[in-house]
Amino acid sequence: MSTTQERRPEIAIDGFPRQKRSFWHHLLTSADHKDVAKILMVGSGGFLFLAALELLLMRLQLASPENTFMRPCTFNRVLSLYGATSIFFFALPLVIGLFLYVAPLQVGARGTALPRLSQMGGLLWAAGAVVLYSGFLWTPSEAGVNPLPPLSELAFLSNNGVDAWLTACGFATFGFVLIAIDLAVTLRVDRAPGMAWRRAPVFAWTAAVGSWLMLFIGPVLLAAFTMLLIDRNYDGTFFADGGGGAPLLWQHLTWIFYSGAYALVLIFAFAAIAEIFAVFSGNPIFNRPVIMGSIAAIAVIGTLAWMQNMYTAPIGLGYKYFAMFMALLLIVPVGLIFFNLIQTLKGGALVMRAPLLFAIGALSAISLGLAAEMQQSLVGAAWYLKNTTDSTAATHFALIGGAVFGGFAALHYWFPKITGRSMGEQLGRISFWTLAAGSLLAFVPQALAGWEQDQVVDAYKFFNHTGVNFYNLLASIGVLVLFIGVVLVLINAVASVKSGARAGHDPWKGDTLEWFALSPPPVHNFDVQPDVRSDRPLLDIRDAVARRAREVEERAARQSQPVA
Amino acid sequence: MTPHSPGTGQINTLIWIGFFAALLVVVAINLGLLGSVRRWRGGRGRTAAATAGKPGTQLRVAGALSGFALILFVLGIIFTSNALSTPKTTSAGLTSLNGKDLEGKPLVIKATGQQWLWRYNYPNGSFSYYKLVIPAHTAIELKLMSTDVIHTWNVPDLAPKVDATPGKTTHVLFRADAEGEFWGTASTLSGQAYAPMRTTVEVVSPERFEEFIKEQQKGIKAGNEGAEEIETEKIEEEEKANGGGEGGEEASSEEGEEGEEGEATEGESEEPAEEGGEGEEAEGTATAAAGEEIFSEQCSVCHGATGHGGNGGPDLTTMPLAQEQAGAEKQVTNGGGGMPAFKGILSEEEIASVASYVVEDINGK
Repeated sequence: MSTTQERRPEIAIDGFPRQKRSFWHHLLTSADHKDVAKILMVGSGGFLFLAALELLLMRLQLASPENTFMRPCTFNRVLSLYGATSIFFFALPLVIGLFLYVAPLQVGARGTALPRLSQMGGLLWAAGAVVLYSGFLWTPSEAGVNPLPPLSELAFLSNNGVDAWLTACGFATFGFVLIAIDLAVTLRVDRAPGMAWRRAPVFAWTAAVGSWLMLFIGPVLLAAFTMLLIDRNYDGTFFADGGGGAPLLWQHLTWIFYSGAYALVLIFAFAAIAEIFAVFSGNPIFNRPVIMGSIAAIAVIGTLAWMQNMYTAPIGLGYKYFAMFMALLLIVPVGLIFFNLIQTLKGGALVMRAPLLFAIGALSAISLGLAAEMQQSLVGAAWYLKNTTDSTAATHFALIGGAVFGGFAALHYWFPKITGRSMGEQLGRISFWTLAAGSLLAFVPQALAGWEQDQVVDAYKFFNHTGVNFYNLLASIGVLVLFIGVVLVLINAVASVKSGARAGHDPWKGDTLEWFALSPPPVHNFDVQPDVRSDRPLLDIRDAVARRAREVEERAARQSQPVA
Repeated sequence: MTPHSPGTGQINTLIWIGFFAALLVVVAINLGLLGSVRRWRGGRGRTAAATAGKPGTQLRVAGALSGFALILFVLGIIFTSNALSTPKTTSAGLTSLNGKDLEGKPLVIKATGQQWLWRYNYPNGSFSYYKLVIPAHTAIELKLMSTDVIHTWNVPDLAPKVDATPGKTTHVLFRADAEGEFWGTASTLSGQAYAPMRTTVEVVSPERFEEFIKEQQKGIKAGNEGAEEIETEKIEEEEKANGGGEGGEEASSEEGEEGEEGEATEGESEEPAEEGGEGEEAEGTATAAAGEEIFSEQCSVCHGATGHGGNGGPDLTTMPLAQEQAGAEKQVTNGGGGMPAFKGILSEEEIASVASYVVEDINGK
């Protein structure tokens, strides 16, 4: 419409000089989904560093028996910070940031449908991060990774630490919910012409599933946080047992969220790996519809298995069997995804670059973590294994596989799109092997210590002569290696922003539409919205361009032939 | 873990079943993954592969996975319900208590968690802290309660983990088939002294068990009378009528409270001679030495080996009550502020000596 109109100098827009905005001004006022996503992703990189540092500090304390490096309350504070940082300020923002950056591009949208919501979400998340770390001003929470009442009630932790923790994570979750609304709407209404769901990229589909998942689980957590804040500050009795409240309610509400978030990280990783496997093997994704269905199934079933975290809690045995059923039911969709992802590689021409390496590592780590989770979903086995370091190891393998390896695979893969430059390949390889060695060394000994000697989670020290000294030392060394690996990746990313090799708009020969946009994409993403005819739209475009070039060549050749 | 009860035996079997299932999954996935990487790396493959495979493949894979999941589910239910139902009293176990027949019912013991220890109440009204003594070959039903936060009762060799949630009563049913001592830890974060919140279960013969709870009962009776004394202390304090009769035993005897404590102790009718005798050991070096031993057994768990805190208990040098004999005794006897009451666990004499150890040796008063 407007493009066909004649120039009208009397309307100010045409000749209006573009306002030059400062970096901070831009950061705070831009509602572009790519800018909001960048805030989330850059922030999550920083918080990954902090989370790894906090884990390292805790492992230093646990390197030797009856260590006095940290006081118990200091340890509990670091533990609480670690829990919040790794979940709310590293894993989820990385996942949601990548969804927000890539998914609208993948479906050929020129922006998101409700950009101000995303902007609000990103800023709320940043506000949460500020509250969490300025919590040092009023002493951090000591209530642990999941602050279970009554421990987190005012009667037992009376300083403001828990309030700050709740506010911070609440802000972040509220932000995620707002972004999820924006993403869900965008992916519903703003897909390019011809892009039916059956042609949508797996990653974009997963972004939609993940957004809906966040829309269900986020408010549940926010409700729990609100109740606990009312308990603490306005004499509420939601979770205080004396006044008719129920500490169990908190466990139900938060485990719904945590189980859903766990599923969210996993489906994100599966989707990113599917894209990477397809592009780096040159094959189409094997059985796309099955993978897409399985991803939706994991989101639903994984969340419904929340009570498998409550096997020791006073709930009926039937509920525990229900949770076990749901957890074991996950075997089917997860197994199908593994099967189809491996089939995607078959017969391909694998280009062993860093994204593929990280993606393979991610699948391997997730397989370890989920297999161990499967063992612990058996009610009787969990009565021994839950809350030992064996369960720590299982969760960390699955989440490090999903968020760190899967996240780094996605980061290496989409980095050229986001910055216009590639990440260093050599450093990428080195950091991959460091991370792989580190995570095995960090968590296999912990699993053994938990299984053999029942070493418990969250404890600020372990006792001598309990047979776990060597395991703990190994685990501490492993976390140090893991920390180095994380730092290497972050260094690689930071250095590559300015000095990486320049990448074109499509360095990997991708199949999906984000590679159709420039690198980095302009504010409006696409000059021309492409017409989608299949599930590999960019391949179609490349083929069309090649065919056109061939035709032109042939025509030129024909014309240059002398007329017989 | 080394299972010493039929229930944990079942649990152990289930863990191994889960482990082999997990191993199968991990090996299959990683072999498949690494196999295809090795086979197809570096562009050895054809580029146009089938996108869906043979028809029915997905269904067959899904069917196999469902079967695998179903087998695990059924095994999980079988072994879990076995673990729950196996504890039954055998003929070798305790069949009657205080002349009352147990009639095949489990022996009920109440376990109360608090920050940061466990109190066990036995059927005859006696109780113990930290250590649970149970008869071998006897089904035990532990009724778990909590007075403050959520604690998980966790003695891995004997019983499944169960949460003690405030406001609810939960149950653990188990039977120990071997005599000996088994340790347990807390496994839900419960505050600062969560890590050292340990417990032990001593499995003894049924005869020894009956003896034990009788001894405990006797000790508690003696302790209770002391406790009543202390409850009336406040009133006496207000009256301030009697003056510090025995109060001169301490150098820092000026405090009225101190005097009152001395008076109160003296006023105890049961063992006046002994109390008097203790009072006469004026310097209390002998009691302080005995107190050191008691301290390392009972108090250092929380207050640290030197009493400077660290394991959840506060630094005693900073606590006002620990600066004077009477205050320390009162605190040890009645507990409060997260500290358990030791009346009944320690005799009055022992409380006095541990208090004097705290006041004299730790605080140097």
